[in-house]
Amino acid sequence: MSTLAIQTEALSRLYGRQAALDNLDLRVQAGRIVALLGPNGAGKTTLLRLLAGMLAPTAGGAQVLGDDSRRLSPANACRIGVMIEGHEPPHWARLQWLAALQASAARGFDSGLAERLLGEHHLDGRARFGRLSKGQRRWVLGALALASHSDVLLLDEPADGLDPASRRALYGHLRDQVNDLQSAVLVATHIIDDIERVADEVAVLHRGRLLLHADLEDLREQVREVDVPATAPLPAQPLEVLASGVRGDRRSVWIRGGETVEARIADQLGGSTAVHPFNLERLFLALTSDAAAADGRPASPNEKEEVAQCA
Amino acid sequence: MRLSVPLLLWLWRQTLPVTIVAAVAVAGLALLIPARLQPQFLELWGALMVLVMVVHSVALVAFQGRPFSGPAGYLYSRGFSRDRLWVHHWLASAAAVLAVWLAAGLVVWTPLRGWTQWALGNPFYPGAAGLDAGFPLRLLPFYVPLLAVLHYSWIRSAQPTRGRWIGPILLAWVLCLLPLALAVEAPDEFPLLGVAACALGVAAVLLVVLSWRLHRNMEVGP
Repeated sequence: MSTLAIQTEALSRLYGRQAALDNLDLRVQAGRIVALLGPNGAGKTTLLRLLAGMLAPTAGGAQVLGDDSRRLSPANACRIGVMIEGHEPPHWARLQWLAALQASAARGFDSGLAERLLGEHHLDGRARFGRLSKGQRRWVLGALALASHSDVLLLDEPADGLDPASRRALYGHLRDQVNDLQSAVLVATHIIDDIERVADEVAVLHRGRLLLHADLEDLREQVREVDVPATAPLPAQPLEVLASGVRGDRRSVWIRGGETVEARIADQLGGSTAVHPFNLERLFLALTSDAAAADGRPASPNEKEEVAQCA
Repeated sequence: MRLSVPLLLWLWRQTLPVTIVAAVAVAGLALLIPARLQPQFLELWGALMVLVMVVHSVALVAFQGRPFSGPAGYLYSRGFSRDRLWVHHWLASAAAVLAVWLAAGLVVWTPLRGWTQWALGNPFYPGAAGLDAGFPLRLLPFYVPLLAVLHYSWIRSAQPTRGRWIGPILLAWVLCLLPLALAVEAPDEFPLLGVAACALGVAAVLLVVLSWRLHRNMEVGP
């Protein structure tokens, strides 16, 4: 039976009057990697900082390993690995010192693994953190997080700045660790292709609200994108419309329809309807554009651009 | 609670620039003050020493306590418990203060000051050098209320409910009382000031306890 490692209930956080997180309910089981997706400003980093106990919720609460995230017991604090963008050690710190610091905090720290991972990038323990390139810094922080053998890993853009081979390697190590240790991992990222290869679940945030949280394998099996005339009515039960977007006289509709989704689509929309396989990036863009439209606010310039590029 | 040497070194290393500057300044003063290093003779030099201690403490805590910086965000997400971090903050502050006053001690406890003052033509030296020996140790206790209020101040400023002004107000209060308390070293001249010194001591202990509690709720990171 899987164990609940992270649980939030009606979690909200305001910055001034701006809601960074709004009534968020999220559950992450041990042994699962959850890809946390969302446009800039969606609340991903705020969520990770709340879970790490670095921020206080304005309302609601979060539990990590059974503890209130604001009152983590010493025994549980050292079982949580955190890598958050902008939270970096000072430039004068040497890598061997960072490893020693991590080892004194995390009981399960594996010095051998840390050395091996740093060695993969030919990084010397005597090197100063500030002398490294952006990609090397991310690798170091990722290596230390992995070597901590944490039960919960909260990672914010762990592969940002890494070359494609290193991104694959980092996520490969992450997958191996989750398989071996049954860690629960929450990875906030914009690089969807990479995380899609290793994630078990996906959670989409938009302006602090959770738009979707689903098993990635289920989505691949049960969700299809169809092209229909813009004037055609939206599909009805038992099909569920996750998102839709109109371009000219055509409408793209993302439909969830159980294991026999394609047969059901053919039943309702006719056999000649163009059905496309599931694509996480396109679904993400459609969901966030839909949500922005529902808010009565246009999508951010980045979102619009991404939709245009993808369409 | 286990002592973490890397954590202590990290926190101490943050204060290193301040520690070096302060050590040079304090050692220089201890070397060159022409008055005998006892409260009843210090007069304005005593006020200067208080000023140095205040500036040193403010700089020390300003370098050490930056809750909204990237390094603080990193440190506070390593897996150390809040109490362990708080204790190490205090240990690092204490180590930084001791390093500075050790520098002063080396000047006073060796013949360095006696010879220098004799070379400068001070008629009391080198004979009076032995009477100066208690000087560094006598000043150390004054760091306690200063560091107590300053640590409280930065921890308070990072609370979810903020309260940025409480720290500075308390600091102003301490700064008013410190010179008075300094005079307690000469109880015959200022008999009532012992009460002020005791009040300051009690307030310092309260602030230390409060900051320990508040540190658990502090928000961290940029």
